Amino acid sequence: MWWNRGKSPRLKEWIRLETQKEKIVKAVEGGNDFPSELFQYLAAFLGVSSKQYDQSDWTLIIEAFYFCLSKSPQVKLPITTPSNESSKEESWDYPERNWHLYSHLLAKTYGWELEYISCLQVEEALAKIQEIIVDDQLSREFEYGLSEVAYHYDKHSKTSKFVPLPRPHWMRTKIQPIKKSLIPKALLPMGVVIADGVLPEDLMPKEILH
Amino acid sequence: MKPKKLNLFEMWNLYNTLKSGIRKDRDTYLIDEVIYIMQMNNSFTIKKSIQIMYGDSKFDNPLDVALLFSKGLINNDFLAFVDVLEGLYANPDK
Repeated sequence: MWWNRGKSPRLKEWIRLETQKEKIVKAVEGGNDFPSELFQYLAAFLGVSSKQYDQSDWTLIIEAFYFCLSKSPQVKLPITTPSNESSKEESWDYPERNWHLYSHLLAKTYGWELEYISCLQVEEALAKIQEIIVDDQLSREFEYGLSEVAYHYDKHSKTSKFVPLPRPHWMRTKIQPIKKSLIPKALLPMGVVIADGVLPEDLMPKEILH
Repeated sequence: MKPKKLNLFEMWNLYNTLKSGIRKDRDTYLIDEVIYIMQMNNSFTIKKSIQIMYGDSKFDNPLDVALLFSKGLINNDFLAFVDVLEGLYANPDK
């Protein structure tokens, strides 16, 4: 089949594909030209001009798209965890900026050539980028902690309180799930208790269950 | 009449035409959902959909139009296409 040519992409290609994937999602949201964006993704992944298959049955095209997604590296790093925070667009943003940003970070830190960076394995490159950002954040936190700006004066208690520098969402402490605990019998109401469906069975005192 | 399933451009066009009549919570039976879409759209959008699905057709009898419309949506897996779009929007990584 024509889509057997898809190989796992390297860093530069992967960034290009991810950017194109974002365009596809935006096209679905905004009612823009979704098919053209999807064909561009397939053309970039498979290296075949979309003219060869743009009149094919839609199910084949979607199958090919999901095939490409399955071949794309699945990166499981804190830096790639999705966030609920909406990313704001900077005034200095431009199309294809992600590649320039990532390659700049890697080249600046390790002195690698752009050609070498573009061929890096995606997971390895992203792990290195995460370390660069963590290093940078921690050193900024240290410098920030030494300055007066980090200590806000509270008029009521007449003391200064340290306000930490905000961290990216993936560097924040994870919220632990609330520990389940039994309700002591003494805290339950007196008399006949109608508790059907109020609490899950594992949290019910034994006296009520039986 | 078009011999095969619609291509992506035609499906996208069909989706945009019928978008306002698609709900998130589906009925258990496919035919009920198709009837709901038909009820939520006016005769203009239904005729436009038929044109997308079959090309020029000369059916004016309401029963023929309803049959063609529902058969077209089912044959082209229209609701599966809607699911793909909703899946992309909700979770593009899966």
